[in-house]
Amino acid sequence: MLKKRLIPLMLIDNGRLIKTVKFGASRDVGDPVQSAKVYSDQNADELLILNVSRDDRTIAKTLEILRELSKNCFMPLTVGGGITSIEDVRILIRSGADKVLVNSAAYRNLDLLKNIVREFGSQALIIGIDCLGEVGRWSCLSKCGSIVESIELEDHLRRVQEAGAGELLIQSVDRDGAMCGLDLDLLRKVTLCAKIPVIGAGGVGNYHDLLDGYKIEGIDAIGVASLFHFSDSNPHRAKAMLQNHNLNFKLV
Amino acid sequence: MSKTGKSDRKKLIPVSVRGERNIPGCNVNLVRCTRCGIPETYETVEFDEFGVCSICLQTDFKIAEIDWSHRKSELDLIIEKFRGKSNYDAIVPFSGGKDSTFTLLYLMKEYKIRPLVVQFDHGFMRPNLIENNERTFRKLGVAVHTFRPNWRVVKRVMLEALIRKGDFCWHCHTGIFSYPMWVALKEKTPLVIWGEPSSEYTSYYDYRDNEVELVDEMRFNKFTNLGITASDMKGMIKDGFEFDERDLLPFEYPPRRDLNQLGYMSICLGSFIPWNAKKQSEIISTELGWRGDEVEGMPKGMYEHEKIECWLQGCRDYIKFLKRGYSRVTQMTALEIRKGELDKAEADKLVEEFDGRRPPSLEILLEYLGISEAEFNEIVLKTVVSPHSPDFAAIKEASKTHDFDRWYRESP
Amino acid sequence: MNYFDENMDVADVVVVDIGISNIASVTNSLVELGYSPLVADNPRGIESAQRVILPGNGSFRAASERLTETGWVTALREFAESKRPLLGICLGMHLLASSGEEDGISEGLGLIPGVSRRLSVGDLRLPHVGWNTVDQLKSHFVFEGIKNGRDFYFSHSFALEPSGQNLIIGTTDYGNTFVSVVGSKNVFGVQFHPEKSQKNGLKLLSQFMKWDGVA
Repeated sequence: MLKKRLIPLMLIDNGRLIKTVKFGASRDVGDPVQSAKVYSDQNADELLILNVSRDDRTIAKTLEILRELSKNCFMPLTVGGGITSIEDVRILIRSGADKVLVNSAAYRNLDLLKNIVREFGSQALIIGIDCLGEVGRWSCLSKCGSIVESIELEDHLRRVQEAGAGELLIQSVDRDGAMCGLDLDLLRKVTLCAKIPVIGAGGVGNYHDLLDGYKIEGIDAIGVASLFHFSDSNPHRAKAMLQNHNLNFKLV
Repeated sequence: MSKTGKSDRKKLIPVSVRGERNIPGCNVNLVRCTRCGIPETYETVEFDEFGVCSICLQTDFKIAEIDWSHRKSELDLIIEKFRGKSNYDAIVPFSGGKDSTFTLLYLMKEYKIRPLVVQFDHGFMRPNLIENNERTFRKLGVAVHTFRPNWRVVKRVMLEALIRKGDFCWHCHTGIFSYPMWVALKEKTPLVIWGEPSSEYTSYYDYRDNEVELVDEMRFNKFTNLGITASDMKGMIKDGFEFDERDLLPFEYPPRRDLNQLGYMSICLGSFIPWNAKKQSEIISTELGWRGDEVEGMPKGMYEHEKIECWLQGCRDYIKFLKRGYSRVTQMTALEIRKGELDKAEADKLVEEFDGRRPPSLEILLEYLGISEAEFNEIVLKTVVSPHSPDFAAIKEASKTHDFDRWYRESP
Repeated sequence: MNYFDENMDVADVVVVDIGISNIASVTNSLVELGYSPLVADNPRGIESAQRVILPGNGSFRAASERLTETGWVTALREFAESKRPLLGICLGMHLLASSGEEDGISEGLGLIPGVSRRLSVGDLRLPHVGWNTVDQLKSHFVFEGIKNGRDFYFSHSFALEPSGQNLIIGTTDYGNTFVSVVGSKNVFGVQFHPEKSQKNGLKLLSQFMKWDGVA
C-alpha cells in the first residue's frame, strides 16, 4: 500500500534557509546542507528545495547547494524556483535532483513542460501553484506571489495535466507562515479537478492540521516548513502522532 | 499501530483500569497510556490496540527478550579491542548524575580501564552535584577534562532556542553530545561510552529492533539538537548580536569523515547491560557516597536520585508541562509502573498533586534571558503541542530547594 | 567521479549513463558506501567492469532508441553473458525486458523475458510516486539483511510483467499487485530507487556490491 508522505519544504535565499510569512517577511532558519542532513536523520520522506530569492532567479545558487546536499541525503529531492529552460532541468537532474518544480514558467510555456515530460518522464515534473483567496474565488499567483495570473485555477490545472505533469504542489499564500491550518477547501477543490497526486502546503501549525489535510482523498503528501522551524517538532514525532491516528507512513 | 504488530506480548505488568488524570493547568482530554499514564503529547509515543504505549512495550521486550549475556560478551570484546591503543582506553562523558556516575564506576570496576572523563559544564551545576563529583573523581582516581562554554553566547542561544523550539537547553543538549567527540578526536581515543540508552524513555530507537544504539551524528540530528545545528544557529543569532563563530564550535558535531578515520565507536553501556536506574543509584551511594538531592516541583523525599544536576531543571520541567500537559512526576511514576513498583492509582494521585508546578527558578531564568514572565508565556504558548493547551490561572507553585540562594544571579 | 578512461584499471562498479537520468544520486550512494564508481557514457566503458548498474528515468521508447543508436545493446548483452552482476534500476529494470509498450512498442535487452506495460491501478492516481512496501517472495543475496515488508521509494507509471514466475523476487501493491523486483542468473532489477530509499536502499546497493552474480 502506498504510504503518506511528509515533506519538509526548504526555502532558499542567498544560500540560507529562510521562512516567509505570506510570501513576504522572512527569517533565517538555518544552513540548507546541514538541515537536509538533519531532516534525513529525522525520517523525512523527501525534500522540496525552492529558491525563493526575489533578487536571484537563476539556478546557480540552488545547484551549488544541491550538489553538496545530495552527497548526504539518500531520499527523493525536488528542486525548483526560477526554472525556465530544459537546460536548467537537465543540469539539475544530473546534479542530484529527482524531480523539478516549475511554477511561473507553467503559465506561459507549456512546451517547456512537454519537453521535460518527454525527456525525463511525468514523474520528474511537479507543477507548483500558489493560490490566494477564498472558496470559489482563488487566484493563481506567480513569481513568488508577486503577480496575479488571469487564468482560472481549474483551467490552469487542466492545462498542466494535459502537458503531462506528474504531481501538483498547491500552496496557500495567505496561510503561508501563519501556522493556522491548511486551506482545506482549496485542497479539496484541487483534488477534485486533478487526476495526479497532490501535495498540499501552506499553514500547517500543528499535527492536527496535518491530520485534517491527509483526510482529504487525493492528498497523500503534505509540505511543511514553519512547523519544523518554529515549534518543538520534527518529522519523526509528527509521524508517531499521525500513526496513532491510523495513517501509514514508510516503514524502514 | 504498534511497530511490530505482535499480538503475543508477554504481559509482565498488570494492566490497570484506564482512568483520566485531573492535573491543575492541564487539558483533561489527553489520550494516555492505559498502563503508565504518559499522554499522546509525549514525543514519539505510539499506542497499540490495547492503549499501551510503545515505551511500555519496549520495556517488556527488554526484560523478556534481549539476550543480555550475549550483549555483555559483546561489550567485553569491544573494551579489549580498544584497550591500550591510544592516550586513554575510552572517553567517558560525565555529568555527575546517577547514570554517568554509575557508568564510570562500572567500567572501572568491571574492566579496570584508564578513561578520560569529559565533563561539559553547562553553567548550572548545583552544589551537591559538585561535591558528589569531587568524591567520585578522587575515590576512583581518574583524569578529568572539564569545559565551560562562553556564557554570553550561551545566554543568547538559550533565548533563541526557547523562541524557536520552546526549549532553552539547546547549548546543553548539543554540548554534552558533541564536545566529548571533539575531545575523542583530539586525544585520538576512538571508544566513547555513554550511559543510558534512549530506548529507556523514547521510541526513536526501539529495543524491539534489536539494534545497538550508536550515539552518533544521526542520533544527534534525530532528537538531540532539536533539529538545529550550530551552522543553523549562527545565522539565527547574528542580527544585532556580535559574537565569534568559533564560540559555537563546541555545539557542532565533528565531521563524520574525521571520526571515521579515527575508527570511532560511540555506544551506551545500557545497550549491553540491563539498565536499572534505582538499583544503580543505590550502588553509587554505597560505593562512592553519591548523594541525591531535592528537585523543584517533585514530591519531597521522592525520586531524589533523578535530574539533580542542574538548577534550571525545575524550569525545564515546567516548560514541558506548559507545552505537553505532563512533566517529571508523570515520567517518574511511569518508570516505576513499568517496573511493577507502583500501581496506577497511586501514580494518578501523585501526578494530580504534584505535576506541573511553577518553579522558583523561573525568575532566575528570566533574568538570564532578559525577558518578562508575560513574554516567556507568550513564547512558550507558540510551541504548545496540540491537543493540549495550558491553563495558567490554575497552575500551582513549587517550593524552593535548600540551595536556591546559592544559584548564580546576574547582578542588576 | 570519473568518466571512462581507457587507461583506468578494472572498476569496482560502472554506472551506465545514457544521458537521461539522475546519475549523481546513484554515484553519491556508492561513494557513501565507500566505493569508487566510474560513470561510462560509452559502451566500451563496461568491458572490464566487475559489475554494472543501469539506472534510468523517463520514457522506455526514448531510452530504447538511445541504447540501439549507441551500441549499448550489444555491450550490455555481452556483459550479462559474462556472468558478472548487472543491476537495473527503475527504467533500467524495464530495459532489461524483452520489450516495452510506452508510446508504441520498442525493444529491450531481453535479459529478463517480459514486457513493460502501463500500471493498471483502477481509480488510483498515476504516477505511482512515494514509499511503498516490497514483499519478498523468495530470498536473494541482494536482499539479505533487509527485513521483509519494508518500504522503498517508487516513482513510475509502468511495470515490468515477466513471462515466468521464477523471475519474480518481489512484489508491491498499488491498486493491483505488480512486480517490483526481478532476477535471473546474474541479472537483478528493482522498480524502486535504492539510491533514494535511505537505509534499506543503501543496504541493497551494498549487497549488490558484494554479490558474485550467482543466484
